[in-house]
Order: sequence, then structure tokens, then C-alpha cells
Amino acid sequence: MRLYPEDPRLSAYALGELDAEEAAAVESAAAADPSLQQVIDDSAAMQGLLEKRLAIRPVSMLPKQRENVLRASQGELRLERPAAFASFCEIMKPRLIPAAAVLVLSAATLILLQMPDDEAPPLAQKSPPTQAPVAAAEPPPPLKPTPPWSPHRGSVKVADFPTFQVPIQVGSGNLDLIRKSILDEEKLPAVKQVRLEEILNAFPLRLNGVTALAKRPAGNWHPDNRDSGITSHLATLSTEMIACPWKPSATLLLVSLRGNAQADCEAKLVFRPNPSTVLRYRLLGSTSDTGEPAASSSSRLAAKAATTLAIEIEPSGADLDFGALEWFINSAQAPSISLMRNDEAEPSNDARFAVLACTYAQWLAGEQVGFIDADIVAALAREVASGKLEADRVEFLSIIDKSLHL
Amino acid sequence: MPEIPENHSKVSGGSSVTLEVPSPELDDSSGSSSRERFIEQALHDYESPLIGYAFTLLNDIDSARDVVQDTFLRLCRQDPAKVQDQLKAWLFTVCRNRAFDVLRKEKRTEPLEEIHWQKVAGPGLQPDERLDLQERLAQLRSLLSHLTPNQREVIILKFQQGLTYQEIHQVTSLSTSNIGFLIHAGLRRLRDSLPDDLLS
Repeated sequence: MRLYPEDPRLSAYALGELDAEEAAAVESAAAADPSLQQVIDDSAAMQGLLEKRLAIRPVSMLPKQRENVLRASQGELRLERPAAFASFCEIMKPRLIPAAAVLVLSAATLILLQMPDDEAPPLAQKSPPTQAPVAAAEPPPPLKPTPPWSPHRGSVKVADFPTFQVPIQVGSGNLDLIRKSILDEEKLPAVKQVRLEEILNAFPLRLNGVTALAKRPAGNWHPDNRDSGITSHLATLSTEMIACPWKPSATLLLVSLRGNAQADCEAKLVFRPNPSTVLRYRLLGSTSDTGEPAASSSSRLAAKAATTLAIEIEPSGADLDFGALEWFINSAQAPSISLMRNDEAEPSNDARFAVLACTYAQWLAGEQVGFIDADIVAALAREVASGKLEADRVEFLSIIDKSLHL
Repeated sequence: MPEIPENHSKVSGGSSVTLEVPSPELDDSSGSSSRERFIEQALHDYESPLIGYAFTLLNDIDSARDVVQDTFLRLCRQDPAKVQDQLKAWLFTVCRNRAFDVLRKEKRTEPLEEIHWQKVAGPGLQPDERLDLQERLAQLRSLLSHLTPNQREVIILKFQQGLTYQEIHQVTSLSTSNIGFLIHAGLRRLRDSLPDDLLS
């Protein structure tokens, strides 16, 4: 066989598209002509390059779309299949989940309406509150009302805390204590040991709301650096807002801060609620035994590190413009995020999972008693279990399942 | 009679896929039928690649998801036994046809050279990941932009989606010999304009 470098069979050979007979002929020709072998080698190298550079990250349809397909595959006469989470299947069919959630939320609403304006969670009543510094608030209020991260874990009024510097605790994710206590020792952990922020940050979360990037100043980066592994971006702030399951009138603001892949940076995050639309707010978790936010003085954001936190926002009316998140990387202000909730937006799977983690952690910690109970945790877990899950999340659901039966 | 995609009628052969032959009867203790398992397996194997492919055509992740949902809904109406042997090509063909339907409906009737394929590797990424990727891919993008629309489409189908020449023929209706020429010429053009360090 006489071949030329322009012959498409050379690249077809490199890509495995030829049958055995043609492949043998190409091999023979290439062995006799180095220029042909070079074309084959180049084609193989280009294949590797293109496959690597054009690779797609996994991306899914929306849960509702996937459900539509699966239901169509079952035919119109088939009922919905129960959730994959086995022990929850025994409790209730998925069709009943929304009804159960409505019942639970309605009960919570009734309780909420009967609570005094400045409710103090039972945990705070059991132990005397520790006087906590108010460095996070600006300006300092005259009467020093309870900051969001105090042992009271109650919400604060916007009038008292018009801004809030959010403690950034990178690397706090840890499920070991919960896992050991519930799976190994078969008992619920002591409430003082439960850290919501540890549970929430034990899982990588990708929020689907408004996101902002902090970039290097233009003079410190050049497009020629793009192939050197240095990128122009320093950190990412992602948000997502979702209905608060234990307090129907409230919104949960989920915030995720992530460093870039190359270098550490200093980060500062400030929540500035809109005083005309937000009545109160509360940072979930982030409390140490002493009442001070753990590692609140550190704002180091390590390369590739990420942290997620949740703020409960209680609006004063129907307006969903909840203010803004302002943030600073290496003392330079990054684009702030306007916190405008779209209540028709479909929550992401990760936001649902984050809400489950927050609810479960508060249930374990004995917080929000009267608002959060085993039923609401189970309902949220069933909702999460009905979707596609990674192995670590399946294990988490198993832990929750066991917790509810201890 | 199964719905045959427009380009599918020209298919005479094709590579096989490793899905079981399903039938609509209930056949396991969980109550799921082989049809359900067939669809679930198809979702598992092709949901993400199809969204990525539709995204290259539509440059809109929501539209891409809608098109892929419609593709799978159409699959649900097929007899699995009749599409399973060429499932991958069938799905990509339906997805491609549906994407072009959307483009026509939106009067975005530009040929492929107008498609914003630059974001081909980006759906589902976080903004910072997308930024990193865009920066790393900037040089490669500028090179791919010099390819002809047909070269670009077959190269995306081949190297991003992993389709064989035969499957690309089924999806695009281009002959396999033409596909061979397009890929060979496209690779050579890319190789000639690529810096040696990027290739290594």
C-alpha cells in the first residue's frame, strides 16, 4: 500500500478506526516511511490533548426533568417508586412526603406565632450565657444584644446589628465524632459536642445561586500566564437562598467561600442585611464551648480550601431583597453579591442537602426545640434520598436514619 | 413502530452498546421493569454527555437540559429492543435534531460556525472553575476557531463525545470517508498551528 501523509487512514489508524487488514497495511507503510509514522504519532498525541482539553464535567438534568423521564419509563399507570433510602421507605411513600412536610411546617408556624418576639432557644436557658465579644458587630450596640454566634444561638435584630462580619472557619468539616457516636457507640452525641459547621462542611457543596469572583489586580496577572498554572482569580463566593424548613417565614442564606487552586489569601466576609426588609437574622452554628466563634480571628483562606455557612433571615414583609454580602480578598474589595431571593427558583440538590445537614445538626444539638423535631429531619432526609447521591451522602443518610431510631 | 430519527434511516450498521435487552414486563423483586432499567442505564451512561453536546449546539444550559429531557422522553416511547443496538447514535441524533429544532424556533438558524462552542467544556462548572478552564483553553480555542464548521463538529463528536466514525455518520449523515478526511485534515491543521509545548 502506497500512502501519503495526507491520507486520512493514518489518523484513522491512530484512532483505532481501521479494521485489521487496513491497520496492518498502514503499519507496514509507516514502518517504511518515518514521515508517515510521524503523522500517526501526531494524531495520537492530538487525540490525547483534545480528549483531555475538551472533557466535560458531569452535569445532570434538573431533578424534576429526571423524574419526568423516570416516570415516563414506568408508564402512566405505574405509581411513583419509593425513595431509595430503605428504612425511610418503610415509613412513608414519597407521595406523602409533601403532605407530611406541610403538616410539620404548619405545626412549626403555629408554634412560631405563639413564641415571644425575642425567643431564646432552650439550650440557652439550660446554661448561663457567656459574655461574648462583639467585635463582629459594627458599630457596637449600646446594650450589646446577643450576637448571632453566641451560645444563645438566637437571632438578632437588624436594628441592633446592621452589619455582621461572618467568621470564616476553613477546614472545619468533620463527621468523625457523629459517626463514632452514632454508628460505633450507638448513642446520640452530647449536645455540646455537636458542631453544625463541622457537619455542614464535611461535604463539598456547590451552590447554584449568585456567585462572584475575586480577581487579581490587572497589573499582577497577564494572559500569558494562563498556561503556567497561574490564574487571574483568587477566590469565589457562591450563594443560594432556600426556604427555611423549620421556620416557614424565614429564608436560609447559604454561602460558600472557596480559594483558588494556587495560593492562600486573606478573606473577610460581611453580611449587610437590608434594614427595610429584614427583621432578624441568625448565623447557624459556628459556636465554641466558650461562646466565641471558633477561629473567628483567622480569616486565612488556604488554596483549594472552601467553607460553607448558613444564615437564617427573617423578613419583615414580603419584599425579598435581603441586602448584600460584601467581601474582601487580601484587603481588596471583591464584587459584592446582592441578596435578592427568587422564591420560584428550584433549589439545587446541594442546597437541599445543606438544609438537611443544618436541620439535623440543630436537632442533635437540641437547638430550635419546638421548631425542629425528628419528623422534619426525616422528611428532609427522604427528600434528599429520592435523588442521586454520592457515597458519602448515602452514609450520612444512614447516620441520620440510625439517629432517628436511637 | 419505533420513532426513527431523521438521520437514523440511513444507518446500515453501527457499533453495539452494552445494555441488556429489556422488555416491558416486571422482572425483578423490586418491581422495576427492564424498560425502567434500560432507561435508567441510558440516563446513567448518556445524560451528561448529551447535555454537554446539546450545550455546544445551543450555548444555553437550560435549553440543553430541556432538549436532553425531550430526547429521553422520546426514548421512553421506543421499543428498547429496536434501539438498544445503536442507542448512543440514536440518542445523539435525536438530541442534535431537537437542538436544531430549538435553534430554528428561536430563529437562531446560523450554521455551526456561529455556534458558541467555546464553552463546550464548561457546563455545570462553578464560575471560578470555568474561568480557570477558559484561561487554560484560550489557546486551544483560538486554534479550533480556524477549523471549518464540519471539521469542528466531527472533532467535538469524536474527541469530546467519543463517537466512532460510524456513529458520527449516523448522527450527522456525513459519509465515513468524509468524516475521515475532515478529522485528518482538522487534526493536521491543529497540529501545525499548535506550539510544541502545549502538545507535550
